[in-house]
Amino acid sequence: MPIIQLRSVKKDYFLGKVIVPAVKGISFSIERGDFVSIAGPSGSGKSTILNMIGLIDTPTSGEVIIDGKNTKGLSDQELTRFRHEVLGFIFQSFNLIPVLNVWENIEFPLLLGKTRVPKNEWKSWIDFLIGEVGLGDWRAHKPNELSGGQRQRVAIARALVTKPSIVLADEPTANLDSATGEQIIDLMKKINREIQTTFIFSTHDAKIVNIADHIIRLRDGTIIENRRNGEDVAEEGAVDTPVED
Amino acid sequence: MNTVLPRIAARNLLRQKKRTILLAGAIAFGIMIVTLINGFAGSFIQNVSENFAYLLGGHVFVSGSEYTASGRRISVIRDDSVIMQALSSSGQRWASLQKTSETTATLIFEGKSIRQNLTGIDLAHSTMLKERLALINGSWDNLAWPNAIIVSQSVAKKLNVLPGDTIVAQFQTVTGQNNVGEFRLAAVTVDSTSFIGSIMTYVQLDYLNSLIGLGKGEYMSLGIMLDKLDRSEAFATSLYTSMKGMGLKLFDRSTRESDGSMTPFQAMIQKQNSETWTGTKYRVYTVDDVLAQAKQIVVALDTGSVAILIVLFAIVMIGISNSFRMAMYERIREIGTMRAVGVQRGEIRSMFLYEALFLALAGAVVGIILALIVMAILSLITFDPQSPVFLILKRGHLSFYLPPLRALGNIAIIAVLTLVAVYAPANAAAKMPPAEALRTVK
Ligand SMILES: Nc1ncnc2c1ncn2[C@@H]1O[C@H](COP(=O)(O)OP(=O)(O)O)[C@@H](O)[C@H]1O
Ligand SMILES: [Mg+2]
Repeated sequence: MPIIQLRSVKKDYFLGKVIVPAVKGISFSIERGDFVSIAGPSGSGKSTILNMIGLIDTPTSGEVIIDGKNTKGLSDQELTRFRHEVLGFIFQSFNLIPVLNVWENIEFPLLLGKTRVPKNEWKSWIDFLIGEVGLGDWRAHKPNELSGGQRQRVAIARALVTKPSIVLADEPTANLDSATGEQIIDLMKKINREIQTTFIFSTHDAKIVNIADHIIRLRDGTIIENRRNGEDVAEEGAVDTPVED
Repeated sequence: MNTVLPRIAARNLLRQKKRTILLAGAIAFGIMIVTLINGFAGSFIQNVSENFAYLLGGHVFVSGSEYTASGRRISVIRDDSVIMQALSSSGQRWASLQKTSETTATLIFEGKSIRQNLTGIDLAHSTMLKERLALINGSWDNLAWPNAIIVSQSVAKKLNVLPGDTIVAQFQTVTGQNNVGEFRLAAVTVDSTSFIGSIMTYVQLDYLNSLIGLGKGEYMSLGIMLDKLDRSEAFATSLYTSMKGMGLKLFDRSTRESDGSMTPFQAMIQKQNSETWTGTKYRVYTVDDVLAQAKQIVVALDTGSVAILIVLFAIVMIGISNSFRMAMYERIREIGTMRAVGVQRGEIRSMFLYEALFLALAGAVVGIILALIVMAILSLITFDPQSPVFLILKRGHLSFYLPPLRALGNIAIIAVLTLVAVYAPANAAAKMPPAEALRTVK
């Protein structure tokens, strides 16, 4: 069973009386353990889709099914708990908590309630993650003492600390130079292979799209390409034929 | 309960040092003012009462009244054995007793004169005198003289007398006859030691009695010093009951309601003046009865301090509310991030409320410490014993007493007000949809 299913998902934004159709009724599935790229130019609806998968926004219509659970109609509290248990987030501008140091930033989600990591394993697990992202010497530093690449590494460790099923990364490389951005994507890919976490990242950078196992390409709120392991995915609702970028 | 949110709240305070110092400083200033008023009010009534107690020679008093054959009302206790009995059977403890007679006299020496109230007590056995007064001239040994008189420095200066000199006194007896007596100056007291020293003139009780027409063993009023001021009301009530039980005639102690134009004590006296009786009728009263007005001042001060607290803090709270609203916008992406990562709405609100609470507590504690420092400094000032503020002072110095509950109450008020002020922005932060918070770029 796919870990994520979107069924006829539509999202309209309301700007006063103007309706902005950001996502125009799309459907797709994502398989467990995949490294997924949501690609497309700015304004194509990438963030909107990731927000709905990430349960920080709700569709205007359609269904988002995560880990077999239909998330429609859940309360804010239930959505928050679900996010905490199942999802990890990486942001374009890193979004670390400025008053916490590297170690504390990574630890933070563990302190928010029940997780899959038993308490007696926290310390060794955080130490392991700090090693994975190569920040062993920086654990006591505050975010403002780190470079952009280092901050994003902290964010990756933070996203993984609760052992989520899915990590969502909305343009994680957009605020980094291209070499650093590639390192970050490589790191995510490495972790994806090592611990089988499903990664979904969005980007408008064609160069890094191809590292993904599964590429979903968007334009104007619709899917224009859906390829997994080099093959087109035939799926209901994915009506558009591929168009050259 | 996890401690990470209060920890973040505390660090957020430190992160915006300028803002924190400004707001906490405003709270501290307000709390300082209010604490000073409370501290002053707290000791005010105590000082006034204590000073009066020493001035009058007791915390609780018994005085007797009778009519002479000519219908003149005089103040006298002829036989105090029943009172003594009532005292011991009342079951209360006291520190000392002082029998007092009084008259107003004109003191004359070599053509100079001054009008003084003469207080007749047992000079040789009064511990109060030796405790409270310091002599500049003369000696405690001279108090054995049967016609000894003790005057203050300023009186001695005015009359230009020295110890050993004989002073003539003109006065009236209790029955209204003019009389003259001779006193020998035994000692001169230092004015600055206390207010009492500067206005009181002491003479021998027995000698004064013989001059004003009272017999040996008689006197006008009995002053009872207690070891604690706050026991005076209870003491007076039980003494009153005890005396009543012995069959003595007593003025009603409950007739103390004020009609507004007089103090309760004046009302009581006036009511008593309109009565007639035969034999001796006794009155039991306390220093507090005399000082009911002073008590009203304390109530006014305390009420005023609460009003100041509220007005001052209404202003401070507007500032706090606004700056938390700003903080909320400044940290909007952090809030969105926390929500995404799994922080619940209510926890976001709590985080802001913690921050406000810490701010309020820090400000309040600093304010109280500042107030204590100011109190300590003000207590060092020595006041002129002649000045009318002297009665509110403790041995010539301002003194403060801050009831701990009052201090805690002020802290609680400020904490609650701060939480109320911050609630709206905290709630707005909590209600912010995470997607929107994360989209915001600043
Ligand atoms: N909160 C919003 N209010 C109004 N319009 C929005 C809002 N968020 C996104 N949009 C619009 O929806 C479309 C898709 O935006 P978005 O998902 O952010 O695209 P991308 O992440 O691919 O750049 C854009 O036209 C954008 O202007
Ligand atoms: Mg975007």
